[in-house]
Amino acid sequence: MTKDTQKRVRQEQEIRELVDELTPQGLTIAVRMLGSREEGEEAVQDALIRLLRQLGRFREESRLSTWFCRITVNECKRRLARRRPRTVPIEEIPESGLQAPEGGLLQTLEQAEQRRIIERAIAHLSAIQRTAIVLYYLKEYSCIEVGKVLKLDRKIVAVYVFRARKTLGPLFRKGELMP
Amino acid sequence: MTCEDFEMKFNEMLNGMLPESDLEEVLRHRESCAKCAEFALEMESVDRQMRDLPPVEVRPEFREKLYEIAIREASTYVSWRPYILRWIAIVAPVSLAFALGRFLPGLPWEIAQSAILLGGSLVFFFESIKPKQSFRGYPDIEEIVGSIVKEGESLDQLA
Repeated sequence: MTKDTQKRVRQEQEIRELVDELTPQGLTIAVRMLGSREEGEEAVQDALIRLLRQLGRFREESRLSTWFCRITVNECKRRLARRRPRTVPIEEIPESGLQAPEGGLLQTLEQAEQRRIIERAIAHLSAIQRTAIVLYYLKEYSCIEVGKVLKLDRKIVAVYVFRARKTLGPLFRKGELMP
Repeated sequence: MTCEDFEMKFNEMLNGMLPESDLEEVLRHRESCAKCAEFALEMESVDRQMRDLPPVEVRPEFREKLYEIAIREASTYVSWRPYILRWIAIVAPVSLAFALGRFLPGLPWEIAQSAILLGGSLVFFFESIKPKQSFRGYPDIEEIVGSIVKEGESLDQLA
């Protein structure tokens, strides 16, 4: 195997590992922000291409995953901005198509229904509240980490998270998610 | 403490940002105000439900698609830096030769012309041997994020 081929094989492997590392987090953000698996996957795909094109500029000022989060969030924001603003009735928002978890059938159905209600409720939030709360509960980020992704002060992030929780409360209750 | 203050401080508590000195006051208000107790219960429920929400699964076919796209993107990546440097390396001496030939009396104009022709030939030569599609010029990921993702490590730990 020539030196060039070896390097190529090694870099292909590295790129696969990079995709494996970044995609789950990016996809969770995108699907929750956009409320659709299909659109979420498109957004992640575009974000990944953007990241690869700009990888040479990465200077370790932030973590690579934080940088990818930011690119994904920006891509989702662009997509949300292109949508015509309208009030969506909770019943109309599509499911993200999450895979069913393991467990008994009844439990599985209950969990799937709970997720459906939560995702529909998230779709009711404003773009910034949605972004803040999705990131906050992603891997249990802190307001500081969310602030780094959104380039906002942690106190401002806390306010958005607070408002999002306040909006979600009645929606969860309406969907009978309250214990 | 007003109910409005309680809401903000309770939110801070959920975020783990409430100073310990305020904790007692918040808990006391919660016990004494039925409306705020209900609010706190609702916020705790939202917090719990959001924490329990599992991450979105990556479909294997989507993962494969991303591998393909990422590798294609990397293999067609063109870094302009080496080509710009190559052009500068050729154009600079040619310009110098031209300037010397034009402005220095006594230096034959033919020498400058020969230098231009030589420079042009070199450009064609380098252009013909430059890689068309390879990872050459692509930023070395390993260099950027360290020795990438060895078993049991994550990029976050490495970066």
